[in-house]
Amino acid sequence: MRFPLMLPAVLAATLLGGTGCGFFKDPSEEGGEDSVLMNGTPRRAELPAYNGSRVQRGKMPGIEFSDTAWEVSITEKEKIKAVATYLKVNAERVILAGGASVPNAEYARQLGQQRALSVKNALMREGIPGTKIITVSFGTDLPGPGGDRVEFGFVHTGGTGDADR
Amino acid sequence: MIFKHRLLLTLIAGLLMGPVLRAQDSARVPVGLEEFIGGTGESASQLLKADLVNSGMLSIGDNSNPGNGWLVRGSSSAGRIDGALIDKKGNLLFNNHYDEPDLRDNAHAFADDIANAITGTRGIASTKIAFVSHRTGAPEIYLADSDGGRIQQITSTGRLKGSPSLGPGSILLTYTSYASGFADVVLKDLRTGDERPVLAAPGTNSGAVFSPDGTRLALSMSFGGDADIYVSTLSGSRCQRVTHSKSVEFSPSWSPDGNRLVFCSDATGAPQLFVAPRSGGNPERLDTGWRSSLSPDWSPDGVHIAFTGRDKGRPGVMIHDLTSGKSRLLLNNAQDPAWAPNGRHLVAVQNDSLVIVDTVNGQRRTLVSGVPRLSEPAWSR
Repeated sequence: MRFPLMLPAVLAATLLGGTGCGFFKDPSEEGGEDSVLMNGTPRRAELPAYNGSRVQRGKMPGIEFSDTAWEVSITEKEKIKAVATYLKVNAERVILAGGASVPNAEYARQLGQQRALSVKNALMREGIPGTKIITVSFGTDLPGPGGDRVEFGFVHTGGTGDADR
Repeated sequence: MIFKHRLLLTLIAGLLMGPVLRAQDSARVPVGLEEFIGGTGESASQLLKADLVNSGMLSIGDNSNPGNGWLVRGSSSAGRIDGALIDKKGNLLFNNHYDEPDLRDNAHAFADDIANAITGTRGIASTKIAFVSHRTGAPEIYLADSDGGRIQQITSTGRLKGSPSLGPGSILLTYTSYASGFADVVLKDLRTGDERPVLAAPGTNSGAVFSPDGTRLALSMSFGGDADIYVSTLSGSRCQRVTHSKSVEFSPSWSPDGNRLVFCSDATGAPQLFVAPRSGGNPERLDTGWRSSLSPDWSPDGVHIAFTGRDKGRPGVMIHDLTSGKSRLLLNNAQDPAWAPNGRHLVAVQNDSLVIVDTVNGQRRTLVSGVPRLSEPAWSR
C-alpha cells in the first residue's frame, strides 16, 4: 500500500526525535489490556469485539452514570460485585462498553472510555485481573439502550467473539 | 493538467497590482462577468458566479462599463476553461487555461485565481469539506465541494466512524473507525482509496487532526489510562505525549505555526479549552466565559479560536479572540465549527444542516440539509 506523504512522515518521525514514545508504558505490563509494542507505539492485540457473535450481551445490568460523571457511584457497587462474582466462575473475559449521551461526538467517545476504565478499576478492586478486562467506548452510539452507562459483554471459553463483518 | 505557470502568473499579477481588499474587510469588490462562449460556457459561468459570491469578498457587478471595475472573460468547451481577468484600466492581468477533466475543478480554480489576484487572499472555491452523516442508517464519512456540490460518500463499511480531518490539498483523510470493533485512527488516500489503521493502541484512539504542514497528527488516546493528547507521525510509528493529566483531554486543534495545540479538558469539571505547546508543558486555560467549551478550531491566521459554547440551554458557535481574550456568539443553536483556509468562513452544524458563515459580514448559506444526523465537519486546509 502506497501513501504519498510517507517521505514527510519519515521526516516528521526524525523531527520528533529518537525518544518517540519511549516513556510510554505498555499497559499489558501492569495487568492492563493486551497490546504489543510496534516501533514504540502500542498497538492493540487481536481482541474479541463487543458486537461479535459469540459475546453475550445484556446478561447483567450496566453501570449507570449521571451527566458527565465517570466515577462509579456508590449506588452501583453491588452491580460491580455481582459481575465480579459471575466473572470468577463463568466467563473467560469481559468487554466493558462505555457510552455517553453528551451532545458532542468526540467528548462522548472519550467520556465513554473513561467510564469503562472506571468500571475496569472497580472490577480489579474486586479481584478480577486486568488481563481479563477489555474496554471500548461507543460514545453516543452505545449498542442497546445507549445512554450514560457501561454495558457488559461476556466472552466465554472457546469463543473468539470476532466482530460480525 | 492546469497550465503549470498559471499560479505563478496569477501571483505576479497580484503583486504588480497589489491587493485592494483584505480578507477581513466587509466591502465586496464588484466583478463584471461576461457570458462565456462555448458548449459548457453557460455552466462554467454559473459555477463561477456562485464561487465569486461565495468568496465573501467579491460580487457580480455591471459588465457594461469596464471602467467600473474588474472584468472576467472566458470560454468553456468540454469542461475546459480559458479564462482572463482584466483590471479597471483594461489591462489583462492573466489569461489562464484550466484543463482538469471536471468542469467544476476548472471553474473553482479560476474563481480562486480571480479572488487571489484581486484581494491577495486565497479563495475557498477549490477547498473540500468532510463530514459525518447517518444518511444510509450508519455513520459514514462524506466529502463535498465548499459550494455544496459533488457530495461523495467516502466510507461504506456500516461500522461506526467519525472525526474526519483533511490533509493539505485534500489528498489524505483521517478518521476514527470501529472496523476492528474498537476506535482506531485510519489514514485514507483519497486518490487511490487505499486506507489503513495507523493508530490502534488499546483503548480509544480518536479525534486525529492533521498538522498545518500535513506531516503529523494530533489526537486523543487512552492507552495510558486517562485520555490524553498525543502528537504522532502519519504512519503512527512514533508519537509524543502532550498532556499528562488525570482528566479527559480530547479534540485537539493546531496553531497555524504548528507549535501549539488547543484542546478540551474536563480537569476543572465541565470541559474547557486549554492551550499547550506541541512538545508538552503546562497547559493554560482559555477563559471563554461558558460553562462548557467544546470542539475548538484554531483559525488559520492564528488570531481566533472557534468553539462550541454550552450553558444550560442550546449550544452556540463562538469565536474567541486571542488578542482581547473575549468571546462572541456567531451562531445560535449550532455546534462543531471548522475554519476555512481563508480564516474568514466557518462551517458548522445548525438545525440539522451544515451551514457556512462569513464571519466578517455574517452572511450564511446552507451547504447540506435534509440528511440525517450531520456532525463533525472538517474543512481542508
